[in-house]
Amino acid sequence: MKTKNKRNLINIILSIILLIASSYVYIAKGYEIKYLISIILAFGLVAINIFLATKNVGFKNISFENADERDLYIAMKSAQSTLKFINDICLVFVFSFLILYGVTNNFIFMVMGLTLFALIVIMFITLLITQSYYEKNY
Amino acid sequence: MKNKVREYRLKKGMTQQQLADAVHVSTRTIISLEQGKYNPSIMLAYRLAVEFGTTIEDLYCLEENKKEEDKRYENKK
Repeated sequence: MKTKNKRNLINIILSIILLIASSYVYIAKGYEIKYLISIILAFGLVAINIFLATKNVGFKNISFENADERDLYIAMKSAQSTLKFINDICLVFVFSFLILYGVTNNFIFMVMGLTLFALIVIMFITLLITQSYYEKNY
Repeated sequence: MKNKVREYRLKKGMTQQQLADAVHVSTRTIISLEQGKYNPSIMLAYRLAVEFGTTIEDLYCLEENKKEEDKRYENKK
């Protein structure tokens, strides 16, 4: 078994670190079921990464291996629509949580609203960075 | 965009699958092209034109489509 590029090797190392961390938390926090689930998920991630490394493919290459130009166009358009949809849903929930906070004065709604708002800001910044990257490179 | 892909394919007696294989795309792409729902890249349009022994201008009625597009642009103003 031989990994064919650095990226795959880094993925394997990171997922093994995650597996070790999950196992440590499972033992240290008293064998709780939620930590056991995280160990199983981390183990699955290690297995998938090892499989992908030996095949020399990433997740993005699996789906685009047999794709023609229309498939790529459809993928781009559906990704745009998904991003817009998630953005709109997040905004609706942000305002709903802020209204709920105003009505109930329960701080948890403020926390949830701000978390979603942070997500929207991160998505916006990521969009700006990727757009500027593609503007320069294409 | 209006085109003559279906017309040329039938004239040549090809199935959609055969044409798809010849120009290295899927049959879904050929169906979409024939319905005018999807506009191909320059390379795909060129491959189709070569396959049918014609030009991109003729296959994609570029003169006619350009006039229609210009008209739409004028109406928007």
